[in-house]
Amino acid sequence: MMSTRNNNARTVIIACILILIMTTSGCHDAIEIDEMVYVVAMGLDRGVEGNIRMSMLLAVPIAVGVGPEPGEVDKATTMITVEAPTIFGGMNIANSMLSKQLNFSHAKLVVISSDIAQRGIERYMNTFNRFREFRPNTFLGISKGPAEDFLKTSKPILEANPAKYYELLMESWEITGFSVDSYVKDSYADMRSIDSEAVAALLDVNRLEDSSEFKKILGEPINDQKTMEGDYTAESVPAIFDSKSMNMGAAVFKGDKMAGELNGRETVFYLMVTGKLQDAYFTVPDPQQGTIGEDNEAKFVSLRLNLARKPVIQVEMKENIPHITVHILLEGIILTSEGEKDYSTGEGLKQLEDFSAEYIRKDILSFMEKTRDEFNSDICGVGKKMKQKFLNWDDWEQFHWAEKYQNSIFDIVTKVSIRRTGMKIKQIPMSDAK
Amino acid sequence: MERKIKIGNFEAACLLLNMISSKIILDFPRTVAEDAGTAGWLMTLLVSVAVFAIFSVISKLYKKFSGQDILDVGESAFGTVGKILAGILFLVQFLLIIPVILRGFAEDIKVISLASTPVSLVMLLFCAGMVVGAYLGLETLVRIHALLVPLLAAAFTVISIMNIPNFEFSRLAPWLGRGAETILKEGVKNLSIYSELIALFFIMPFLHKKSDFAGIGRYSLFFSALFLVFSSMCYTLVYPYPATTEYFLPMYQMTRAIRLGRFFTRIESAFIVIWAFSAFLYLSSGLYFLTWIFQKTFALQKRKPLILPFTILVFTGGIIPENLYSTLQIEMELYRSVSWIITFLLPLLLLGIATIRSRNKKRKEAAE
Repeated sequence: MMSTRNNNARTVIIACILILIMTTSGCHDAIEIDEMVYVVAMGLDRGVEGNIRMSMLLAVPIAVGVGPEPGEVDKATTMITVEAPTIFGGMNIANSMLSKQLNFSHAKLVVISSDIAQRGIERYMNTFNRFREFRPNTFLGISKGPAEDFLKTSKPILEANPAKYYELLMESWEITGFSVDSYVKDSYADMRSIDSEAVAALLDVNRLEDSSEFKKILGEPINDQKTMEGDYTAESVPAIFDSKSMNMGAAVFKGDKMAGELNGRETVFYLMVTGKLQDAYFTVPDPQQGTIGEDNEAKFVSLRLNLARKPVIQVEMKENIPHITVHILLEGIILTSEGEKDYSTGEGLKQLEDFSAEYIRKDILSFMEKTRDEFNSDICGVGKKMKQKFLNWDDWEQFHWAEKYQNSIFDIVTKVSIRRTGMKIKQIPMSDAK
Repeated sequence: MERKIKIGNFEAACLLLNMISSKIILDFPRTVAEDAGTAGWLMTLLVSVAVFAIFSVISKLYKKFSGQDILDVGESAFGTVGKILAGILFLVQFLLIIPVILRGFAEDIKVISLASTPVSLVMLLFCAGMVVGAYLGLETLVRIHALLVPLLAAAFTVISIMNIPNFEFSRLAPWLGRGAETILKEGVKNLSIYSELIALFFIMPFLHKKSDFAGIGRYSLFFSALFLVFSSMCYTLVYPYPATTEYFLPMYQMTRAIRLGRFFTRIESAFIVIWAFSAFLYLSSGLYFLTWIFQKTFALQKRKPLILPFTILVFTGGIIPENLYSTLQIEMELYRSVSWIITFLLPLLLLGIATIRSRNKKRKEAAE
């Protein structure tokens, strides 16, 4: 009796295990890794008759290299451009041409042309959030020119792996501050929120062929001041390199529509106000008046800046007008001082700290005013602070923060503390020594 | 006749913890966000406190019926008819939720990885696991729970910790979400979050130390509340409202958002296995209780022959909803509206009447 029962139990268990094994090994979803082609980056442009032009940069694994052996780097990717009413329509067309099935699960970058972005990107953002192959941590970039051109001209010169190339390119903001961390998930969250607006990395193709063309960009001083590094957007960077793709500045959104752009330097201020600045080389004019060299060139002090602590944003409503105060505490290292005055110690150090703080304060104020007057877009998320004063969602919604923001009054408080002076503790002018 | 079953306190608590908290993997963080907005976590906290209070009353009343399951209590209160009626109500409760959960887990797997596989096949796969679990019985189930629930709890904690870089404190504001009134109104319906606590009233006769009944309940309620509140809070911290109401699988979405450096990404693939464990455990336990309640209600000799018919019932029930949304509607609109009544009010009623009747009986006996 007992043994019959055990046999029955064993039969049921074995039958169930067999069912599990057979079904989990997957007949329906079985696909070999070499039956798929992986999209590394995708570009979206406006096509004809309301279509989208979809450019996909595909990885060619055999050219990337096998094992430790590097492959042919310039053949590591190939591009396909199709036009269809939707992204999935484009995928279908591409799949019908390629011998392998398109897969977006390793896509690192989605580039959308500003032409599309200005009309609104909600439908594409919905696609990226709904389709499981698109990852939330895919980078989002807005190209000033056609996205197709951007992808075509990108050459991973210093990196064998094209996917890593795009990752490193989009993460360069961490060491320069000239761009932003724009993941699809964050941009979507900000577009969906009513307390902040989204930004995305601004990309473009550098069309300069020779350094003699730099004059075109650097010829005109900005606000009667010398053009500083970062005073450009992606299409106009004075640089000559084999890879023409540039990541400089930020595209500013209002809702899902692009409202304007920030240049590299303004993006540094954006990162300062939002507390995202990691490290940036920052140049300020020499505080000493009249330190003009023999060749009539201005002298500068280069600092390496980072946030000493998270910025404090306070917002008060006075007569229905938001009064926004931003406290920013930066700390820095003197990298170089071109002038003759020594800013390493004592009075000089204090002078440099005060001068830098005031210099940055003015620039941040002008950046904040630009978000208010030109973009009317709260990209710094001041609304998040305002929202904390509300108890109910409906009250917050009816407050209409976006409308209030356009009347905001800003007060910027900055402090720069120079913590270190590099490898030198003091600087003796050469003229003194002779 | 099954041999005498003995369940330890930890094992029983793990069973309850998984049964109550497995909804975190499904849609719980989203549904509370839909109900209370940014204050989903607060509503869950209040609901947990309320359930804790209700359970304290139940456990006090239950002291007199130590060693009896809720169907025995039903019999003490209203006789055999009471037992059968209560049994049918509990059966309906389980028959309503188990197919929905089965379909829910199958849809999860379909959305996450087996996109082309028919949902019926995925459900069949889960059914196979359910049959094995229910066949092996309660003792095996609770021991596997004791092994895997700590692992599941650790996995959940790891997901939450890894999401800390994505947390934004301001997303919890406005602090009362859709308002205090809505929180209270929706809170009543959400008492059903703890519906699976009913399992404790069924395993009562099998507990090793029957006097620890209240302790097991409190222990599992505390940890369930901890995970439920924490999951809804983490979800709200990671995604802004109203985007929190958009995602089908909140926890999976949170796991996909994890990115610690360039190396540590895509960890959701590891968690799919763990989630499948939780689903198998929940569904197997659910099928076990279905067959057990039926056996007990109708005083049948054997339970195992009921496994296959009930599996077919559950499978059929799961395949009926036309689409994913209809499945979710059954859980959110129908099940949540009635389940808390069966889990908390019915036992209170049965215990109350049974207490009065046993007191009257004692008085009569004393008078005689």
